Amino acid sequence: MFGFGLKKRNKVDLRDTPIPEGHHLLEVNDLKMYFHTQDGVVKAVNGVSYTLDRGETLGVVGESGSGKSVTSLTIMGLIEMPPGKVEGGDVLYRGKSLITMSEEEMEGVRGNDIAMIFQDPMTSLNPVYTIGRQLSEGMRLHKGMSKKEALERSVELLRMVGIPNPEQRVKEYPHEFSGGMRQRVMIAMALACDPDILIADEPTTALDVTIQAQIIELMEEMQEKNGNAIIMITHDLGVVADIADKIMVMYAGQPVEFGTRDEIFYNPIHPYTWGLNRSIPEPAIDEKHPLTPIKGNPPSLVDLPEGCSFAPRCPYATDLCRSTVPPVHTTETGHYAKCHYCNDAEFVAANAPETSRTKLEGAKQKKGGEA
Amino acid sequence: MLKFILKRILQFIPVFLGVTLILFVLQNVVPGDPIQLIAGEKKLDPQTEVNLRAAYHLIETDDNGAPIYDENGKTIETPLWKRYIQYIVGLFHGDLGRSYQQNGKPVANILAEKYPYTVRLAIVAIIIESIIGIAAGMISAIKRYSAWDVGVTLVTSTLVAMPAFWFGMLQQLFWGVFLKSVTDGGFYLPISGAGGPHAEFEGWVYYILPALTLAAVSTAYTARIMRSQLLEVLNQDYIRTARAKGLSRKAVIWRHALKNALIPVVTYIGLDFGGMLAGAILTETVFNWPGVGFETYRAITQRDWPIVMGSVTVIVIVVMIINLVVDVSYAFLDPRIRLGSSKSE
Repeated sequence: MFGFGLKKRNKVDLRDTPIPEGHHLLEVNDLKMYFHTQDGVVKAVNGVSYTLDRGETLGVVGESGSGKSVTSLTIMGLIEMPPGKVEGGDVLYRGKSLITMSEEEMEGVRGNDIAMIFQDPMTSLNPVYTIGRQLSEGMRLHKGMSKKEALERSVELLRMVGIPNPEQRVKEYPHEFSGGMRQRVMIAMALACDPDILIADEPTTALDVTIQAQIIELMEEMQEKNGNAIIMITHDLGVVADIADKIMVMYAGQPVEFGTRDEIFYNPIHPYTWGLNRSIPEPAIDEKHPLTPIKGNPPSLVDLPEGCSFAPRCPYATDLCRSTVPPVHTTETGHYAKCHYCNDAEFVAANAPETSRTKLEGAKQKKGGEA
Repeated sequence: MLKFILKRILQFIPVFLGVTLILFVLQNVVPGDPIQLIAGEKKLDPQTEVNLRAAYHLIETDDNGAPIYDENGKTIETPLWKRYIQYIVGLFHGDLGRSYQQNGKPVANILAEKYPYTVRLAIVAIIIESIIGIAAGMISAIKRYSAWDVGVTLVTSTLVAMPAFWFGMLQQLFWGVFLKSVTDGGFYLPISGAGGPHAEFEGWVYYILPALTLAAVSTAYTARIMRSQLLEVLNQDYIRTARAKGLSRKAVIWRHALKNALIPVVTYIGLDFGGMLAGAILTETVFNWPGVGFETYRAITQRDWPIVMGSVTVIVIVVMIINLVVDVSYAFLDPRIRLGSSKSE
């Protein structure tokens, strides 16, 4: 009776088409997603750009409301439009625009080429259907598997993500699983069709600290096996420090700094990134030092301040910052930041926080001096 | 599951005893002697009166049913508690007592005649309610804020605010009287069982108006519950998960949202069905429907207490059984409350 919509789509999987010359696996170009609400236009995503290739992991870091999740939901085409509207930019997957794609084509991409896991595993699974049925669905839809084949593959997937006794568990309901186990199920579900890109939207936020590490490790392990790219959205710099190759720091709907992991952690050039770094506790360093929070709150996305969005909270802001939108400064390695002063080496050297690396170097020198 | 059902059946006992006891006491504190009611204006011959009292177990009798007299030659009134116990014991033999009117016809026979009409009417009404209510609610939720949604909200608000009997009368007026006169008797719907409560109700046309009336308010509620539930479910995280899997909007609604949204709707419809089986007194009275509701109404106006007592007893049992069925089906729909399953123990 409810057999709607599980017909195999007779389309070539985009995944099997080669990436055109000069393109990346995923390219986000100056993407703008605005929401038209009664209170005004919410500029949730305002000019996000990055590229991603197979096997890479991109960390997207930012406070709540900085547009991290909306960016990835836009890529997935899961933003309700209206109220949402793409006001500019494009998302290219294997050289093909996801923004102009028809809904039907997008359905063939979602869960198949690009899969997503969400923040709260407790509510992300349908409570009234078995795990097996929910796992099977995507495979029956995208791969045209029979019920039986899909269920057998589900058992395999559950075993792969480390769920004990999968033959039994596959028949159970979500409420019979713990939070960590459910997130494993979500990962299995996302990997069911062997996607090119796995988007993880704060996958560990709702979990115990001990479970968090397991889930992150699992995602890395799966990436090694499958070679997929990962977009890891988080507000926890610690999470991306472990697994990201590249990091994008977002603030008020815009990327304020983008670079490799080492660049963001050891050579950050944007004051907002400095603020984030200063607010990480560092148990590795013996001395206790007070954490420095970033003062104030993120601006309303309906009514962004003139000039740099971060200026009202930035301790180094000048009149220039408060009146003119900063340009993007890009270094030769592709490390970029949106700040008037970030290419001023003196300014950066004088104000950047000590990182664990500089501290260690400092300590070494001190030791060397004494010896 | 079996344990759960058994537990529920055991819980029936105090509820059942409580309801019947209250009613039994009430009928006995209402003024008016039943035997004088039977007699009416006539003066009863004393021996006949004693025999009647004995027949209705109002006085103590010996094993052969002959009245027992005390030393003064007077009959002994059976105490209330003893009559209640006699009533309960009688229930186990299918004996619901006998009507004070209708020549002392057994109540069980009267109810057996009336119940099929009530059941059939309830079934027709519940089908109307389920189909129209669920469909209207679903379309409203899916096409939220559309003209359809506004229309459904308007109609359901109006129906909920309308007393059922008045709605029934309006329908009679329109379909039975107005249409009949406009079309010169060419087209109309029967507004009641012609000839009163004993008429044969075989033709399906007779069901239309009473069933619509009986279903009206509940259909409105069903549509509203369905709409709000579906909207709520569609906002859940697991719907987004299903969409992220590549399911189309339609597939998500049918495969993921519907079952979740239906859980409270099924509960409501189930309980409502229980209520309808209890006899819709207002609707049945307005339409002269020969069911238990109308019979109960008649019995109350004529102080035919054994019939009131009997029909309430049956209603209590029916409603309790329906509630149990609803609970069991709820567990079937929602695995989280599947009680006593081997895994949770």
